[in-house]
Order: sequence, then structure tokens, then C-alpha cells
Amino acid sequence: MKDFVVRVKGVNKKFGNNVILKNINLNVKKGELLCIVGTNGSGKTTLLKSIIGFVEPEDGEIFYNSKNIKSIEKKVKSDFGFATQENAFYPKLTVEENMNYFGNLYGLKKDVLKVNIEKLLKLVDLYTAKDVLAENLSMGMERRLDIACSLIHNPKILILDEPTEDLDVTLRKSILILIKAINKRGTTVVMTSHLLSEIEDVFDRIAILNNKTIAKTGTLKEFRKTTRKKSLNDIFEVLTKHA
Amino acid sequence: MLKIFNIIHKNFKLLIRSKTSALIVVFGPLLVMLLIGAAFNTSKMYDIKIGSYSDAYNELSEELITQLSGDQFVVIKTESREACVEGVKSSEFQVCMVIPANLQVEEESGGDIIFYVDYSRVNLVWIVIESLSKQVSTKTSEISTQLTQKLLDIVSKTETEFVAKRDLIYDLTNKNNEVVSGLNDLQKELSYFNTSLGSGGIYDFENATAKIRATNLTESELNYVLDILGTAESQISLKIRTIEGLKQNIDTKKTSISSILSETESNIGAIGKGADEIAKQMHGLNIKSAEKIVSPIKTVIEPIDTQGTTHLSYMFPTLLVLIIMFVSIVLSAALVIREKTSNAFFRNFITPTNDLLFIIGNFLTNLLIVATQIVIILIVALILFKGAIIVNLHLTILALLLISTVFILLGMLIGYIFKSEETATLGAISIASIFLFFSNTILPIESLPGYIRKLANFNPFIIGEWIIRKLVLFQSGIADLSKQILILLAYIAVLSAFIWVSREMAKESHRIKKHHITLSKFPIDKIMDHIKIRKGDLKKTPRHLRTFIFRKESLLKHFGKNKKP
Repeated sequence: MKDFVVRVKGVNKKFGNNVILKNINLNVKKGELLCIVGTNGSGKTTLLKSIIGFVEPEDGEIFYNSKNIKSIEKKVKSDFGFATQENAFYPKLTVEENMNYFGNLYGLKKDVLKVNIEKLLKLVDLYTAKDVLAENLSMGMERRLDIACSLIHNPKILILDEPTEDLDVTLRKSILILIKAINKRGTTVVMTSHLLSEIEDVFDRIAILNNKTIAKTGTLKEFRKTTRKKSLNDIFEVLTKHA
Repeated sequence: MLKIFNIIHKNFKLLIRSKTSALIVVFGPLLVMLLIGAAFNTSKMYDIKIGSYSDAYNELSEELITQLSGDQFVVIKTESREACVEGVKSSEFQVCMVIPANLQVEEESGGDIIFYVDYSRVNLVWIVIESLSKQVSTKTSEISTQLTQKLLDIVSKTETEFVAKRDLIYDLTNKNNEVVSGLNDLQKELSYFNTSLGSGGIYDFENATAKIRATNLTESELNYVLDILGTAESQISLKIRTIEGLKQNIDTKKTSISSILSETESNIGAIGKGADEIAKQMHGLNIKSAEKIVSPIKTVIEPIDTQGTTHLSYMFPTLLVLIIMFVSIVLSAALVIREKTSNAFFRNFITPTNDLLFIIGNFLTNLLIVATQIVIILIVALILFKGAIIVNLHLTILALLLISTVFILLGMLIGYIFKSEETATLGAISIASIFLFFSNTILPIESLPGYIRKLANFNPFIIGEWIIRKLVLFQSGIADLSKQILILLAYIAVLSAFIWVSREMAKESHRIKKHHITLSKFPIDKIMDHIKIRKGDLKKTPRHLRTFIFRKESLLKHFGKNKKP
């Protein structure tokens, strides 16, 4: 239990009469790379927003380091980084200005912020484009800037909502390499995706979200053993079919 | 504090780099001027209140007040002239009418009726003056007609009198001619009368007299003397007879002339009597000035005691509040809606920053921009009014701050309520226009029906304009403005609460995932057509569609299904 940095326990969420999440149980281990896979509208984004406390579930609890996130709202905001499906930065600000702005909102000191920006820009390979207006960046650069903005405060957990969405194969690969590199720095990464073939070798564990609930959680190895299928596409099909 | 600065800094950059914002900032005031140009067109007024004061009301002044108290005007008598003028300053009355004590039209120096008006309410003033003048001129025409009639009566009587006395005058002329003729005749007769005494004349008579004195006359000499004396005797007798004849003629003429003169005297007496009668009537007419007959009640329009002397100074409070209103509402609405519709809005929520800081940050950004404009306007005003504003500068700044705050908060609320930049801008302009139309700028609120007018009195634009007018033009103190300031503070409190709620609602909308297009509702052929779009073009497609295309592409690819799901 102590290994689980985030624990989602029996979470239900509805928007009006639409059930979005149904009895979600999910644990995130410290330092792991967890991918939540699921079809469109399966509730991936809502689940991620619930984990960071932005969406409040009707039932169930979410714990961060064994503490209910409701009681440590500020701590959760400081320790979590979140990158949305759509790039969440100001197009009229430059790369550096965006990072500077969000860094300030996290209350980072000027010198710390300067070091963080430089490190992150190098990490996401945007250092040479730091003075470019965000609206002039390419799609891949935009995605990297968004991830960099999510990392500006050195979060312990990085949540990425379909970060490879909209990107071509090459860019998707580069983003996945970047995510791996971020994870290697010690950041726990929780990500959602439906690009199953590309995430096979990247993530430590995979959680399959189907019919508004977590159908299965485990490593690829475990899934292969259970389903006797090799590719994640086939595994997904088998597991969601049974569900 | 650093965070607020950070938010403001960011907001400025976003504004400067956005063409739409720049356009609003630049063209906002121009739009305001355009709307002002469309103003000033009204005819009917409701419940125009006229304050009235007179040291002593009399029948005529009461008549005038009754005449004015129609369905358009309400005349309220005040205790003093000062109270009457103050009533105009505080907008209790639209006009103050000071009537001279015991208003008399017959008196040459009867005094004028003075109307005190507030020229800072320029569109109302002229309408009221026109309406009042119309009412007063009705009474004036009535009196003027009476006076003219009186004058015409006298003229008519004079004419009758002269016609009646015309024969007498002719007769006088004839008699006068007769006298002249009689006198001429006398003169003629006297000219025929010879005064000489024969051939020797008086020499012979003196010679004969000398010879008698010598005593020792000869007979011839005596005869000679006797002859002379005899001749003299006959001549003198002749002259005496002639003189007697003349005397008789003169007596006759005298009788005739005396008779004529007696008649003439009687005629002149009759004419004099007529003239006396006319003079008496003329004397009864006290007004002898043509101006007084034409305009028996004179009105004077006086401005109430203000610092402003030009049209610009009267218009200044309105202009200032108008610019503040439009810039504040439109700019703050644009800034908030841009922030709200930005994807970065969500990232702001997940940072450990209090929501209040974002509201304060946005508010201060707008306030700084509006303050810059106000400072520029005030500098220009200080140059134009030569220090008139300085008298109340601290209060003016405080009032401007309050007014700006209300409009900025209102603009922010519009920004939080509307869902797109276009609608928010339109909403902001519409709200500002409504405030403008239901104010005294385009149409005086007196032209509005009673119940709307009561609501319009709570129009923040009217309140703001009223406060600035009082401060700049009348140098009022804070005590006079307390009610209006309290209303503004109430607005600020209510708007702040609404902003908080609407921001929370905006936050809530981010909790619900948007642009959720289910595959079953979207034609697959259309999707496939979109997938064929070149990657360069793809960036131009709407974001939600782009996301969808990629999702579809990925699903088809990874689930290995090349048919409709």
C-alpha cells in the first residue's frame, strides 16, 4: 500500500444523467509509468481530472500519499502536473513567457524558475525556440511546450491526457521518448492513450478503461499471459469483449 | 503580489499581441463619439420640474404659474432664490424660475423673469427653454394683444376726434381769411387818405400867422391872410369829414373782426377740449415703449453658477464617464472572454493560485488601462479648464475609480457569462449602449415614462455622470454625493459576487469535457475525406475536428477496421 502514491477507490461520476465513471478502482505506484487506455468517451479525461481534484466524484475517494486529496488540495496542485489534450498555454506569449507565467503561478522563486525553464526547454528540445510566440510553433513543439508547462514546478506526478493526440508517427515517438525521459528523472507518469501499438514497450503498467470502469490493470506481460495474445490491440479487444 | 503582477504582465502582452483588442482600445472611443453624434432628437417631455421663486407673487405671476403647470411642467414654489438654484444643481428641478416681486407689465422697469438652467444638461436645457418660452410667450402674446388693443383704441378715438373737429379748423381758416381781408380793406382806405393841406400847405399858414402878429397889416395883406385861413378851414373840414368816414368804416370792420375772433376763440376752445381728451387717454396708457408692447413679459436665461463656461466644459463629465463606460465594459469583457475561451484557462485552475487573484489581476489590468485614459483626459481637461478640476481633484479621482470599477466589473461579468468573444463584445457594446440610451446624453431621461425613468435613475452611467458633474462643475462635497456613492458601492458588491459565481460556472464548464462527437453521429465518408487532407492544411481545420480526425485515423489503424465502426 505504501508503494501506491495515488489510490482511486470506488469512484463514481455522473454529469447530469450520464454516467461517466462507474466504480473506478485504480492504484498508481510511485515512480511508475502508467497508461490508461480506453476508447473515446470512456471517461479517461474525467478520471484524470478527478485524480487531480478538479472534478469531484459523487462517490468514492481518491488518496494521494494516503491522504484524501480533498484535504490537501494545495499539496495536490503543487505535486501534480497536468497536460490536457488541447494545449493549455497562451498562443500570444512566447515559449519562455508561458513557462515563466505558469511557474510564477506555482509560486516558484525567480532563480529557481530560471533554472527550471532552462532545464525543461533543453529536455523538451525547445531551448532554441524559447523566444518564439507559441502560436508560431509546430504541432509537435506545441505539445512539448505543453508538457514543459506541466513540468515547470517539478511535479512528483505528471498526468498526461492523450499527449500523442493529433501528432504524426514521428512526433508521437518523440513525445513517448520524452515521457520516458521525464519518468527516468523520477517523476511518476500517468497517461491516457488509445494508440495501443505505440505504447506497448513504453509503459510499466496499463489500465484498461472500458464501459466506464477499469476492466483490468497489469503489465503487458501479465495481459499476454492471461489473454494469450501478443499485441496490445488484440489484448484490448479480448479484455473489452469479455467486459 | 508577484503573482498579480505576473497576471497583469501576461494580460498586457496578450492584449497588445491581439489585433481585436487593439482595435477595441483604439476604436472604442471613436464609437462613443459616433453614438454621441446620433443624439439630440426629442420633442415630448414628461414631468419637467420648474422651481419657482418670487419675493411677492401677484395675480399676474400666479396666472403665469397656472399657465406653466400643464401636463408637461410641474411648478414647485421654493422658499428662496438660493434653494431654487440649488434645486437645479441637484437635479431636483430642471429649471429655476425667479419672478420679480409683484410682476407688472405696465411698469417700464418691471424686471425680467429669470430662468436658471444647468447648461451641463445641454440637451435638456434647450428643450426646456423652448417649451417654457412657448408657454410664456402665450401669456406674453395675450398681454401684448391687450396692450396693442388699448393703443389702437386711443388712436381710433383720436381719429374720430380729429374728424369731428376738422370742419371747425376749416371754419377757423375761413374766418381768419375774412379778418385778413377786412384789415386789408382798412389799410387800402387809409392809404387813400391825403394828409397835405393844399398848394402852400403849412408854409402859407405859418406866413399868414406871422403877418397877423406884425399888426400893421395892409388890406391886401389882411385879405391874403383871410384867404389863406378860409382855404385852410375848408381843407380841414374836408379832412375831418374824411376821417369821420374812415372812423365809421373802422368801426364796422372792428365789429365784424370781433365777431370772427369770437367765433374763432370758441372753435379753438372746442379743438383744445378734444386734444385734452386725447391727451388724457394717452396719459392713461403707461407703456410707451414699443419693446414693452411687443414683449410685455421679458425672460432671461441664466446659467446656474458653474465653473464651466464653454460647451466642452459642460459636456466634459458626460464625455469622461462615457469613455470610461465604453472602454471599461468592452475591454474587460474582451479580456475575460479571451482568457475564458483560452485552453490555458484550465491550466490556471490547476495551479495553487487562489481564484480571487485571477479576478483581481484581470480587474487591475483593466483598471490600469482605463486609468491611463483617464489621466490623459484629465491632463487635457486641466489645460482646458485651467484648474477648475483641481479644486476637487482627490474626490474626482476617487469617484472616477469607483465609476471605473463598476463598469470594469460589469464588463468582466459579461465576459464570464458569454461564451464567445464575438458575443461578449456584442453584449458589452449593447449593455453600454442601453446605459447610454437610458441616460441624459442622447435623450433626457425626462423624455422617458415615469416607471422607466425610476429605473433609469439607477443607471450607473447616469449616477457616474451626475457625480462627476457635481464635482467638476459645482465643486460639491462628498456629503452631497453620499447616496450615489453608496449605490455605486452596492453595484460593486453585487457585481463582485456575480463575477465569483459566473467564474465558478465557467470553471464548471471545464470540468465537463467538450466537443464530444460520437462516431455514430458523424458520417464516416466525411471523416475519411478529412483524413486525406494534407498535413499542412490540417492545421487550418478546427481543433476539435482535427482531434477527431486523428482519433478516427488512430482507431481505424490500430483496431484494424477499415469500415464504419
